[in-house]
Amino acid sequence: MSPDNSFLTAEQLESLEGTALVRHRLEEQYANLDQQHQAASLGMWVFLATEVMFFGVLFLAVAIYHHLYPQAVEKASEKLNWVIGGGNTLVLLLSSLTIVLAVHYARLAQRKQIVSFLGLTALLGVCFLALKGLEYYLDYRENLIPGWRFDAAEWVTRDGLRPDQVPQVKLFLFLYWVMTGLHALHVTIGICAVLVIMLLARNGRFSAAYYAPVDVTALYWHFVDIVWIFLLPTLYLLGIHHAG
Amino acid sequence: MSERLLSPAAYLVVLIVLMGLTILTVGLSFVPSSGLMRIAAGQSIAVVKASLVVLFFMHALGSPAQTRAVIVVTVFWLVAVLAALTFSDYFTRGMIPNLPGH
Repeated sequence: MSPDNSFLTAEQLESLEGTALVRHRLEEQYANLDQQHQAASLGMWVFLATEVMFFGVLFLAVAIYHHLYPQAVEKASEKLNWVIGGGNTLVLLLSSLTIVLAVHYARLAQRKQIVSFLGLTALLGVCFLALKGLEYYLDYRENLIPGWRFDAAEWVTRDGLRPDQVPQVKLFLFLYWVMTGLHALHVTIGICAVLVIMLLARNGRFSAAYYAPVDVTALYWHFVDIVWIFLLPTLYLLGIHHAG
Repeated sequence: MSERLLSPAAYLVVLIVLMGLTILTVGLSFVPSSGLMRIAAGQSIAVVKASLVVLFFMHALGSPAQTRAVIVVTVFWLVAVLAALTFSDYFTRGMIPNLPGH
């Protein structure tokens, strides 16, 4: 509180809490920090709506190719590494918990916990990317990269597909690379955002009244988690797996 | 913002349910079933999981009306406009024999 306001009574001071007169984090177009937080949050939700459209068309493409070429698409889906795909789902879900806890402690203005949970979230994001990298390497070993490491004859002799179905396999695998690649890009951007917010939190930038950046970053992170929630059944679980 | 606060324990319960559903969806891929059944099961479980994340982790429960409006419009646009109109074309091709252009 600046000494300039000292002529005000306690009640008057309280009514000014979170307004531009006493909070320098408040932009002048907003009445108070609560309204500013709501505007920031709404902006992120609208951005996420555009992201839903962006990823949505790719999911539609898989659905349509699956409908047109069920046999080839299911065979190709069976070849994807569902162990890493499923394991990575658990990693991202756990990271959603850690970031929601960061928001929780931001509300309570507990700086140490905010920093730890944001750090943990970024670490889980890096774990996800490392596992994804391992999976990409295994895909390389298994000849699952059309245009680079791909053996058309293998799909005919090993999997019993007709030669004219091999391009359909390629089509699905292209979508697998595009979708998981774009998702990995989103995770990378998310990790950078979380690290920036973590540094700001460490410098004591946030308070119980002002923590919108933590909240908005968490919204983005949860969205990236949701995309993966849908990628798992859409890419990895179309075929029938066999135990052992 | 003045949303309802969930306790860390409540968030943990949501996470355990999400992880359980993940194990269920992967487990179902070992059950021999028709392609359509597998899509229905996989996508339904994904919708439930995404809803849990949106409602509890993203605090859509107890969020302001304008946030809820954005969520409803997004789902409507994705499901009713983008998906339904596209599918109504692709999934009905060849239903009427000898139709010109098909």
